[in-house]
Amino acid sequence: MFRDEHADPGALRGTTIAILGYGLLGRPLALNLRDTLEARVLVGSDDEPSSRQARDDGFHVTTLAEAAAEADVALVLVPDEVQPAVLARIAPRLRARTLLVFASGYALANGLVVPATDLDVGLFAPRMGGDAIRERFLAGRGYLSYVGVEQDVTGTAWTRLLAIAAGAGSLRQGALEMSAREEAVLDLYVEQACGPWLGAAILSAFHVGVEAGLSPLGLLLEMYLSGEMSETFSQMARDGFLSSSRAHGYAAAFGGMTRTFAIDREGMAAHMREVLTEIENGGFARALQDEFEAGYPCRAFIEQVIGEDDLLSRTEAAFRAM
Amino acid sequence: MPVRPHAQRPEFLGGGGDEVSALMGRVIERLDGRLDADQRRQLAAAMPAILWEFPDTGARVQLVATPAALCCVSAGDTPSLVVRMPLGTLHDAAFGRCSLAASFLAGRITVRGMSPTRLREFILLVDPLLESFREAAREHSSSAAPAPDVS
Repeated sequence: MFRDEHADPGALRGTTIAILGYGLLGRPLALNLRDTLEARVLVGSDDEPSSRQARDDGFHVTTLAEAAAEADVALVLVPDEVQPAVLARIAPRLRARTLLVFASGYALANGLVVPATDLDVGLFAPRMGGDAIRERFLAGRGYLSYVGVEQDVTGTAWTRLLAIAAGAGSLRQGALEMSAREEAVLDLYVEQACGPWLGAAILSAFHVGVEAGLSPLGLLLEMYLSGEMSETFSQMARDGFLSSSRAHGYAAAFGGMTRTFAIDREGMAAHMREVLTEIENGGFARALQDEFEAGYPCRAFIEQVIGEDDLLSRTEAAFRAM
Repeated sequence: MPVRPHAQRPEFLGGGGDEVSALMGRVIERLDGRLDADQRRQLAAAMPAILWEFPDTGARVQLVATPAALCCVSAGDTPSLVVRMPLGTLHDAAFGRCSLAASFLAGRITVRGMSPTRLREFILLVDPLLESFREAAREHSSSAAPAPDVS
């Protein structure tokens, strides 16, 4: 585990750090790096609302290509599927020996970008959402991240990468070494194998309970609205996944464990293996790139489901208005 | 639009699984007419066989897609996708009485075999399928009694 004592933030003194993309991750990382490092932090963005936000935050803002051209270190913080197109635009402008840092291994792992051989290439992938990255930084706390060096032509890639991770506030808690490929597979696998089962469990429990006459609000409070469930997840992280069940009393362990035996885990595992295969063989990446290149034809459908005026969303809204 | 808690089997279908299969055959004929050559080719490549299971009627109907045409067969070869939903839900969605999104959230529709590589082609089918079902159901009801409640 890398921590602050392993990094030398002074390694970036007097250099130019380009934040390419000023969205969910770009903004907090730019703010943290500016607050910490004795370096010039500038923002590259081709998106007007993001550029305006960056200017309001006091950054010098240029286009992605111009920012890349000035960078000693360039952090690629645009969405995964957009990275190949952005890299194609900025690649001719990057100077030799620049450290190109990705916050996600997706594009590298799937061969969607192939950085020039005269660049250093690293991974700094925070395991925390953007808002929390800034909040934790301001509170003096860190957050976990993955770091890795994919290409080191200068011999300084690790030093500069750890200086970025420290400056961004992560090493107060720690960073684990990981390759871009492993990070990409892990991230997509957990999102696509575990996330849907959790989501489907909540939706099914809600609708079955409502059909049986249980209170819609009561169901949502039990599952997540009260915050008890998020506290349970924190407890798992703190005390251990299995042993945290002791904190909920014997009735919860007795009922929960017996019901878990009855779940079709074989079917669940088979589904998860299919998901993993499609991620590992590049099938998911091809589908996502097709979706991007075709102008996101599935987005309207996905937004329709997310924005559906379902009883669940109406119950949440009523609770927030109380 | 809220999902109706218990979408009922359409009243005009009295004859069970065989009648549903016949109706779906006409739905697929109409669907074929609504897709252009490119769409048919995309569908044939992404999911050449889609099995529909209607648990409220016991009917199982398979759509086979080739670049030349779509056709309806009784369940046969291993399907690329298995769509399981009550016929009542399909009927209500076609006639604007419930939303497919809400039915999906409520767990009334499952699509086994769905993956990110197939979503685009699947979405392509949804509106033409609902229109085709509406037409076929109207035609079916005009030749059978009682008339469907399509208010």
